[in-house]
This record gives sequence, structure tokens and C-alpha cells, in this order.
Amino acid sequence: MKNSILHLFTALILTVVVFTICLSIGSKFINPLLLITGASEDQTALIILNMRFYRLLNAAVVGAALSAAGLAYQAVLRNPLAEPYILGISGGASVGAAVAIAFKLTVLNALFLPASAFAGAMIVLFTVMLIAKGAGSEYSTNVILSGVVIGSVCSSILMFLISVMDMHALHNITWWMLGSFQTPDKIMVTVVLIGVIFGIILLFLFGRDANVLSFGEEAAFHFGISPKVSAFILLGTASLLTAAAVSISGIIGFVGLIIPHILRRISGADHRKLFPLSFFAGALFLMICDSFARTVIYPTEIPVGVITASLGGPFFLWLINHKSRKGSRKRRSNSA
Amino acid sequence: MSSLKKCFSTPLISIICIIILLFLNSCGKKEKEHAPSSSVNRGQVKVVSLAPSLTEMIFFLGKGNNLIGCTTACNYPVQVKKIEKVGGFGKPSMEKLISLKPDAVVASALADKAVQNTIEQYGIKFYLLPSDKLSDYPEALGKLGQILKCESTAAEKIEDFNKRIKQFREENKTLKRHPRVYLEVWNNPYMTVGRKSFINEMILSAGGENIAAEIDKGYFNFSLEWLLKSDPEIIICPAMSKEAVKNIEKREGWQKISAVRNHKIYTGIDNDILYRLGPRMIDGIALLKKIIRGKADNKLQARQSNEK
Repeated sequence: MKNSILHLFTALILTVVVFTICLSIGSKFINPLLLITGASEDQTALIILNMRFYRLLNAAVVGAALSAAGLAYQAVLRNPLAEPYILGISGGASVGAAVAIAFKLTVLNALFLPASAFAGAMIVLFTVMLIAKGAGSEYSTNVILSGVVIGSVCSSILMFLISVMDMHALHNITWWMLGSFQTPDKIMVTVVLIGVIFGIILLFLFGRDANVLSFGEEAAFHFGISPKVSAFILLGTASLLTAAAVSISGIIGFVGLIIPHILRRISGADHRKLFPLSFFAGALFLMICDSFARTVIYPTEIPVGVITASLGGPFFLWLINHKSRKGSRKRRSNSA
Repeated sequence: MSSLKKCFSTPLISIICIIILLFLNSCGKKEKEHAPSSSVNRGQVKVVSLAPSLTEMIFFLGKGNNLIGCTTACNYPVQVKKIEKVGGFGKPSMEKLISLKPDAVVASALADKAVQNTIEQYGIKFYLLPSDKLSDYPEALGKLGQILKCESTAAEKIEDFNKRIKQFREENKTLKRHPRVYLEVWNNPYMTVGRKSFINEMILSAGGENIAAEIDKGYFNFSLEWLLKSDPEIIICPAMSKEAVKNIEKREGWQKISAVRNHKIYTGIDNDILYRLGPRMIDGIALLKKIIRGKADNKLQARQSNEK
């Protein structure tokens, strides 16, 4: 347990440090202390700092939500490929966003876009949960299958909308789907941040159930928990986190897949430890990725999803192969 | 149990940290609100353009010196090379935009609508100028005149534009018939312009009849069947290179189309004079007029005859 406190403490310190560093870099270096003192001759620097602050916060919140959600999905569904979008939430959110853009709701108020995306994600989530309700002992398999199928239905609706859309609208929806942290709404980011913190606390409280569920539903039943209720709560919370993240940033892939795997390699499979850790690790990862996205070919922005996969992919490959080689060497020496 | 409590307390610590940071940040914001929104440089309005057409219009009004930022898509006139780039067409880097301290930002479209809110939040005026119909051009020009404080110049240019368009339309009255024109925006998938696009109006002003004029869309994909049924007499593919005419003639099933049979295929045109709702649109219409009346300039004519 001491080890886990150390891990958490390190993660917290790292997050704060990286946040501060990312805050200061960009088009030009700005002393992040300006934000605290507030007094400066250069008002523009302060404005830019203020802008970077919310952008980083947005990235951090989305990263935290997606990685915690991915962790919960992988535990409950017992599938290493599970990620936050596997239940079709991204599809639902995209259709919601496309509807808002196609019917020009975004012209009325920019907030209609995230609201509509969130509504789309919620509709998909409830549909999946309702359909999979009658599954009995094969609950998790059915949830995955229902999610994947509903995701496909959503993407066909999306393709239909795209094919009849105007060029401007097409551009808007494509840009939304690429995912971006560029224009966070301050109030919304704060609301989502609070929601994500509570969501992760709830996941943490069900960490033991997640541990047991990852052994299988039958095992969980024999351990004395109701697999269906626990799975429902874990999946529901994870999906809510994903929906909230998607609605403020668009679809950002890869985070929810690799961060849980990396964490499990570093700190074991205890979900009571992993959920709080995922909060920081996800935040760290996306903050770094977004800082790359906005600085590499400045002033043009690279979609952050490009960075997550191109930066995270090789690192992840190195990590899993590095560890496994070491492990096999140990095993070999043991057998000898 | 105590370790569990400790585990629990870490997220709490982070919440407190974040709340403190948020609080501190809001302290800083108050300072900002008291500050003057932007400084004026020798009484001149500083503008950033987020569209190539608007950049051209600003130079057309003789206010190129007021332009302090444009997009990477802006390529005309040559002076834009020296102007700072704030990002792609309709997708600025907010940081770059703010650091240039403009008084106003003009755009014809935005990739992300929320950008507008963010820009306005920082005390910069934002204008989304219309860019769908031909009549949006004089309107945008007038608005730019107001923003750049050169209303009289803008009024002159608008009058001039309206005169030219009227002249084009007068000349069309002498035409016995308007040839059916197909303008290919893209070939895979086939895409052309409908009633809602200003390019449709350009074709009309040039004396042609857009085969998609009845279709209530801006830009759209269509089936080959529809094209064969419409049987265009002139095919214009601005995006294609000169050599592409041969390929167009070889396209499966296209041999029946009148334009292909009569070798009336025109390619290799400067996209920007057709697809930009800007001052060079007049040149675009003039070129279309030449093509439609079979008086296309030598270069085009030569290209056409080579293929025969």
C-alpha cells in the first residue's frame, strides 16, 4: 500500500510540474507565475496564459475521463481491446454533433454543439444498456456486441448526414470529429472537471468490484458481489465520463486504450489504486500531446488525435516489449 | 483502512490544488478586465483575415497595410507573403491571433464555431461576413469598408462591381440560347455546383446555363446517370491539368455527352478566380464568358485543338 501512495504522490507532483511547463511554452515562453501574481506590463502575455490555462485544463479533464473510463471498460468487459468508444458513444456523440451542425443549431449558440453531442451519447448509452439488460450470465459479451452494433448504426446515420450535408457543414463536422481543445468554454470545462472527479471517486469506490469482475462474472458472483449491478454501475459511470469528455473535445482516440495498459504494467492490477492513478496519467498524457499539437508546426494546429497515436503508440510498444523481455529473462533464469 | 483513507485523500488534495489554481486565475482575470482592450496603432484599425477572399478584398480596398494577419491559404496578392500567418482557412491558432493584438477579425467561415466566442471573450471584434451568394460580395465589401473606415472607396468598388455584373447580363440578352454548362468541382466523387453556390450565378452571368441550376444545394455529389441525362454542351474542370482532357474523353460512358463529342472540354483554369468570392471574380466571369461563347483565349483554344 505504501508503494501505491508513492505512485500517486509522484503522479500528482508530475501532473503539477507538467502543467506548469506546458503553461509556459507555446508561441513564446511566458513565466507561469504571472498567472498567480496577475500584475504584468504585458497584458497580452497574461491573456495568452489565461487561454493556455483553460486549454490545458480541458486536455487534462478529457485525458483523465477517457483513461479512467478505458480502465473500467477493460476490467468489466475483460477485453484488452476495450476502450471508451467501444460502446458506440463516439458514434452517438458524432451523430448528435452532426445533427446540431446540419440543422444549423450551432449558429444560434455555440453551446448547442456539445449539448447535442452529449445527448447523442446518452441516447446510445441508454439504448445499449436497455438492449443488454436481458442478457443474464452473458452480460459483458452482450454489452460489447450491442455497443459495437449500435456504433455501426450510428456511423451509417452519420455517413448519410455527411453525404447530404453542405460543404461548410461537412468541414465543421470533420473538424469536430478530429477532436480539439482549442476553444474550451470556461464554465463547461469546470463543470465537466467536477463531474469527472466525482465519477472517478465513484469508480474508485467500486474498485474492489472491478478487481473481482476482471476474474469473470461467475467468480465475482462467488466472491459475493452482484456482477450485474456492479458491472452496470462501472460501465454506466465510465460511459458518462466518456460522454462528457467527447462533448467538450470531440473524439480523441488512443488515450483510453493505452493509459490503462501502461498503468497496469507500472503499478499492478488493483483498481482501487489504478482509478486515482488514471486520473493523473490520462491528464499528463493529453496535456503533453496537446502541447505538441499546438507547437510543432505553429501556427497551424495538428489534430491532437494524430499526436496521441503517433507519440503514444511507439512508447506503448516499447513498454510492453521491454517489460516482457525482462520478464521472460527472469523466467528463464528461474527455470535454469 | 487507514491506507484506504490515504488513497482517498490524494484526489481530494488534487481537487483543492485545482480549485486554488482556478481561484488564482480568476484573480488575474480581474486585472485584465480593467486593462484597455487593445491599443490602436497610429489611429489605424488592425485586422486579421481568416479567408483568402477577404484578404484579397482588403487589398482591393487599398487597406493592405491594416492587415496584420492572414491564413496559410492566402496567396494573392504577392504582398501577403510578408504578412504573419495565424493558421489555416477558418481555423486560426488562438494563441497567435491574440498575440498579434488585432482590433477586428474577419472570416467567411469557421471550422469550429466556438472560436468566435473565444475571440470575442478577449475583447476583439469578430465579423462573420457572408460568402454564399454573388450579392454577398458587395455586402462583405461594404462591411469591410465600415470596419476599415473607407466607406467611400468601398461604395465606389461596389458600384463598379454591380455595373460590371449588369453589363454581363445585358450582353447575354443578345445570346440566342444559353449553352448547358457542367462545372466539375471534383472528379472522385463527381461534384458540381448547385443553385445555392455563387458559382452558379457566375455561370449565369457569363451567359451559360448551369445544368445543376435547379438543384437546391451548394456543392453536391451526383450520379453519372444524372449527368448523361443533363447532357452538358460545355465541360469545365478547373481543378484538372491541361493533359486531363484526354482522360475526361475516355471516361466510361461519357462519349455520348455533347461536350465530349464536340471537344468542348476546358481544364487548367486558375481555381482562385472562380472559387473565391473576391474581386478577381470579375475575371472569372469574363473567362467563363469567353469559354461559353467559344472565344476562349488562345491558350485554352490551343489546348482544345491539340486534343482533336
